[in-house]
Amino acid sequence: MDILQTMQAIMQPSVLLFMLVGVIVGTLIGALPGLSVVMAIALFTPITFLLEPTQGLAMLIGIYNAGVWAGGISAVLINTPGTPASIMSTLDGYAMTQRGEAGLGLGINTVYSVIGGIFSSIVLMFAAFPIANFALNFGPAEYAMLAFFGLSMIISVSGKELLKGVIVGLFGLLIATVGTDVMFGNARYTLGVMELRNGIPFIPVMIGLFGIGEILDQITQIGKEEPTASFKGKIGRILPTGKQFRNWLPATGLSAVIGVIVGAIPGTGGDIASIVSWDQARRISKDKENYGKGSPEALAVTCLSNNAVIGGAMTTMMALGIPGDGVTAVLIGSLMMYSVRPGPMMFIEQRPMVLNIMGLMIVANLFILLVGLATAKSSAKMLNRLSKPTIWIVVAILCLVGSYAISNSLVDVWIAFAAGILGFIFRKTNMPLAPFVLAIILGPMFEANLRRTLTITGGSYAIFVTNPISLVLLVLSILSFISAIYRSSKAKRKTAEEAQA
Amino acid sequence: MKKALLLLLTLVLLLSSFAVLAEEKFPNKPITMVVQANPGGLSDQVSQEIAMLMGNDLGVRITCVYKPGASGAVGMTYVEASPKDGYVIGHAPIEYAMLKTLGFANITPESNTFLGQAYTTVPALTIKADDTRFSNMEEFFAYAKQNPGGIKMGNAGVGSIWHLVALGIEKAAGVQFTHVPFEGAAPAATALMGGHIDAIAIGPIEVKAGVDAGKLKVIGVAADERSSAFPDIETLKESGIDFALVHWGGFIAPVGIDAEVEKILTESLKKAVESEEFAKFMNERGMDPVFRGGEEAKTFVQEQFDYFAVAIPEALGK
Repeated sequence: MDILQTMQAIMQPSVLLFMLVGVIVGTLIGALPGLSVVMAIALFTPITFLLEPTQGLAMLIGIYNAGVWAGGISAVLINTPGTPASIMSTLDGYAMTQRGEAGLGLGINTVYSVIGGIFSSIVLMFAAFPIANFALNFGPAEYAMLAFFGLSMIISVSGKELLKGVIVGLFGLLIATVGTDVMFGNARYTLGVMELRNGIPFIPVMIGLFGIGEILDQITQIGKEEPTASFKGKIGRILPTGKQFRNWLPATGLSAVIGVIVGAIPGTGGDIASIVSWDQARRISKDKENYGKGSPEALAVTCLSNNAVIGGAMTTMMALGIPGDGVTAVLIGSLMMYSVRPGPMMFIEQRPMVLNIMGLMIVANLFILLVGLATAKSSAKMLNRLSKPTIWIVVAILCLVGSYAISNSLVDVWIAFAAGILGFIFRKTNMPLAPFVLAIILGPMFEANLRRTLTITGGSYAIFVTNPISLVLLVLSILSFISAIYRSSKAKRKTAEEAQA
Repeated sequence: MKKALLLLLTLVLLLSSFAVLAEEKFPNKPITMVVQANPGGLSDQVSQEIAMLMGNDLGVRITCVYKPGASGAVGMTYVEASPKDGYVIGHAPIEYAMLKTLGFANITPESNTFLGQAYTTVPALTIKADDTRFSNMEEFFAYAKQNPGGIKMGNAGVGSIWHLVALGIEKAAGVQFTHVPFEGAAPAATALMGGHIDAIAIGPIEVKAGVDAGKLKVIGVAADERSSAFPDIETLKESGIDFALVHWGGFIAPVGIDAEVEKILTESLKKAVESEEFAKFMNERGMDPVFRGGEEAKTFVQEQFDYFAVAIPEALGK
């Protein structure tokens, strides 16, 4: 009966129309670097008050899901993540574009984002409370170890350039110390600039490093490169084959689970989910060697997990009333404007509303599937048709506008510039970018939670071993270090043997 | 004759255009509301609500723009440097009186025109609902006295208003807490729900979902009077702990705006704050609408500023 009512509430032309508007807005905002999903939802929230709750929520949920998905489009096409959640999609997605597989890259992004979105909505429908209560187990000690676990990935994303990767990662950690000290409130390395009080903002750094850095690098290669025939060629297929789909099942299945759980943990989002999924999926994958070099499977893994985060974040928001990230914080505000108070009582008193939201999540993803597959070929073609200078100019403008739009501050634009030059230097010296990004995302989380834990325990480190979750994460991090060292020494022996032979 | 007529016509036209000019009163175009925080939080919700109510009253659209950063210093400094025509106003919560002493920015009560106070939020002393050691204020403070440093007290960040509240309670009750700063009030409330800390004293809106979920329990409010949002919860003073420090918020405009414009804005703010709709909005969020305007408001801000100039260095041991 419930399901019939929900269907009735959702399958109205007006609701579907607002959903479509939301999906289109979300697509544009998500694909443009810097224009964040949070900002889009905040801007559209006042408009939704003029609408029926279901119509308004249809629009906001459309923006949310489409925004996270569309962030992957710019990651694949121009190597600049549209939102932080797509940061890992640049690694393999852009490598595919350079190989001339932009169409397949966009297709995978769409199909697996939709799978992630729908999977997580279904999980939300059946297991909201167990998952939300599990998420509550994450205290400072667990967050600290989660961040440590993520940081251990600096090694696996560095590939062959292990030493350079570690150097870049440590430099990132240093940059991450800028801002107000969490425990004592002192300003650290802020040079008296008020805007740096909250630390170096991550999104302008990301935009500069990937967007501006890439443009500078390409400009200096004018004339040097041989024309890449495949790049200008046919788009090819956009959907993975059934065989690929089956082969990727273990890796993508794992990343779906990781995405939902990380999404449910307050304070972590699509960026951390895709970082963790990428690394864990790589471990169980048959295609390990190609992760980071344009593996379609790796792209599927990251796209899936950052969209699976949405259902997880909605779970914690609705079941416990806890805003896990910026978007759910705004959504709580919107729900309250409709006099719906997220929390356990919502599932009892406002059950139809909960079901409608879950239904809207699924419908939003079906819309994305349509829009995504319909535009994948033409977007890839358009990129092929445009001359490189045109792309550079457009991307540069988007980067600057985007970095200003984050908090309407020119300081952020300067940071994007500086990060762009840094990204250029990294590229010229073959320094991997990913460790730097990991350090900037995870460094502050690690530091704050480590120190918070030690404040709570009075300086004892025992809690990291006695708490089961942090122990598991600690063991996984140590394994990750050991296996990286083992692999690197094995690779060295192999090259040495080859050199002898 | 014709010339005279033309002259007359011109005169009439001129005069009438002057009349139009004189009649074109403030406001005649959209007003910008600077929100000093990110979208989604309490500052955003209150600013949007007031923007809507004042906009309806003044007959113009009031749009919110976000200038987050440095605990609100970025947004408030932005208002300070805005054109002095009254078309830029901003939300200024209690940090307005704290930021200079905290060393974040040179913001004093004279930096902006304080249009008026709009609301207060009482600090709600909150514990875990299933805590076996204490379930009311008496037991809580008895336990705290016996176990110096045994109670892990979360707050919303070093130097934040909720940190000062925790320090104030500590001092007034003669106990010792272990203070655990979080990056904002919501993560602190979440940590309490998960049992990672023992207590918090933060705005009711942050703990309400946890209370509804049966995971958290409010045992007291650090205010002079009980909050209209929680009439059953006693104040700390009723338990003999002489401490009250209430979070508040108001709205500002740049210094040097026309006195007439200031009056129009303040009157409109007053109407908004005293409306039934705002009362309902505040009550749903566990806050109280309180209007203070004109000289009274300016004196109040100065008093708060002077209080924090002493309280913050004392609290942080600087």
